[in-house]
Amino acid sequence: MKDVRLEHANGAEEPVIELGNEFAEVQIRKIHTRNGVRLLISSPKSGHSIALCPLELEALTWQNQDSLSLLINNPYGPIEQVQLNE
Amino acid sequence: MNDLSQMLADVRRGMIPAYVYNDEEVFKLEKEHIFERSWIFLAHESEIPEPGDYVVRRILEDNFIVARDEEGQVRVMFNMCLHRGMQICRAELGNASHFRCSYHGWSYRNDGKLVGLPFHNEAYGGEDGFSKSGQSLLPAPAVETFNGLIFANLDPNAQPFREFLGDFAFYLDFYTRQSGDGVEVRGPQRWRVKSNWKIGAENAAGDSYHTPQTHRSVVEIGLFREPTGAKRKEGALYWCDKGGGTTYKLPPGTFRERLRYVGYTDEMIDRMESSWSLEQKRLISDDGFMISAATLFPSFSLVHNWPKVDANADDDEVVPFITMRVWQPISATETEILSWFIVDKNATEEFKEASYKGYLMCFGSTGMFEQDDVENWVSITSIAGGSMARRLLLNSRMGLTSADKPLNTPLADFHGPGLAYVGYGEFNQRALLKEWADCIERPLDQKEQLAMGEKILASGTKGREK
Ligand code: FES
Ligand SMILES: [Fe+2]
Repeated sequence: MKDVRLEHANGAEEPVIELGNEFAEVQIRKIHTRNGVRLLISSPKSGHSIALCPLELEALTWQNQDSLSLLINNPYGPIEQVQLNE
Repeated sequence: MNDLSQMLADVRRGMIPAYVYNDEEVFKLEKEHIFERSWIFLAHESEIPEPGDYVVRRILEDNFIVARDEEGQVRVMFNMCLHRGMQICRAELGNASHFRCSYHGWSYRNDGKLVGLPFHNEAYGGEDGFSKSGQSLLPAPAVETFNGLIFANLDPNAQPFREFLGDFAFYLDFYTRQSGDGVEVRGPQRWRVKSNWKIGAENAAGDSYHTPQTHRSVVEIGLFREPTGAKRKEGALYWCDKGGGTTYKLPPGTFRERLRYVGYTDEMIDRMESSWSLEQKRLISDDGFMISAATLFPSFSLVHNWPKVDANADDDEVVPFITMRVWQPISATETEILSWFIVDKNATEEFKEASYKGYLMCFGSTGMFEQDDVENWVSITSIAGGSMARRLLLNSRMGLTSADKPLNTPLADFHGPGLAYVGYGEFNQRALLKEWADCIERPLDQKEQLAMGEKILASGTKGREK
């Protein structure tokens, strides 16, 4: 899941923040599109990355532990519909 | 092991069969009868101050995650994945909202709740095959905190900690409640020594007699002025419920003057004044004793000393430090020591640094006291393994007459609880080993098993594979 914006976006000059613990490691960087900004989060180990817009990021602030647990639930892909119904 | 009832009888009269310090069968009894059902210190709350902070600690081979969950509650969870038993947290400390097993990727919240099984539907048919709702990492059977100290017990029917601790709490406050906000810790340092665990525990409980000999060099180089033979014998030894310790006799003075003598600053003394009870303060002001080493049965010890930290300072410029440790048995002949530095949370940074330096000079893997002590203990352990040691009863009767009467009468006006004596004696080592003997003698209970993820059928019987 490489984000296409990665190839076009501009952000090489932005500082990269690395965060890790024994369970995961991520790199975080602000990237610029022609008309705005996103936060690029990438996982060097899995090769996954995602670029979140400010609204998506704000949406994280109104999640609780249960909804974040749902995200973590399946390490191989997005939340499955069955999980949502459980 | 020779005959069990004979061994226990010998220990109870203060004649210690030397082999108890190096014997596989004795160690097996200790594991089951003592460590699997005693209150064992795991961590201090200040080691996990924020939600998600965790440390990994052990009781024997049982490995636990000690975490502060997102709600701020302290949890002690068995560090074994409910699936195939992989150890979940493998780093010794960290911060995480969820733990993910590295084997098949099950994930758990930091309060232990199982939240994710990859391919739950495909692999198990969802909740029907593996009911994950309500499943959690196994909590430690019993957990309690006192002054921020987190203790756990592997026995679900254990006596409540506060009851077990009894009035030894009076003494624990001197180390861990010097102000209303409590203490913070640094460490632990962790290392292994080829010594039986009991030797160190007994030493800290009451061996004021070894200090002038074993630690002579510490006095000679001017690091610590107190442990001369003449001074140590004026200290009181006390035993109270499940623990006991040693003290030093202080020169004449008030509560404040005596605390200044061991190096506390006035602002720290102010806080002690308001957080200790009248009786606790009178132990210092009226009786003139300052707590030093102590042990709480079975394997938790504390030390309070006041060395000269700055080599160029005047002789009376000392800095006090406090340290606590766990004697974690690895085998009959090896112990893992975990050693923490403790300091009043509200102390100045300057005091904290000087006190920490004093601790490092004296204890921990670099400490001078530590080196001196361990030499002895390794040697005892090694020589206790031979056949001659099976014939030898060590005399641990110091302070008693042949008729079992104490040489000196107990202090009548001592302000601490329990029984206290002035002078040398092995009262505390005997009291500790008497606890040990009682614990070994008490029969074991049946252990219950817990099945994970298996549905309980309506009839109440468990589901079986057809
Ligand atoms: S052992 Fe932990 S997920 Fe399988
Ligand atoms: Fe010592």
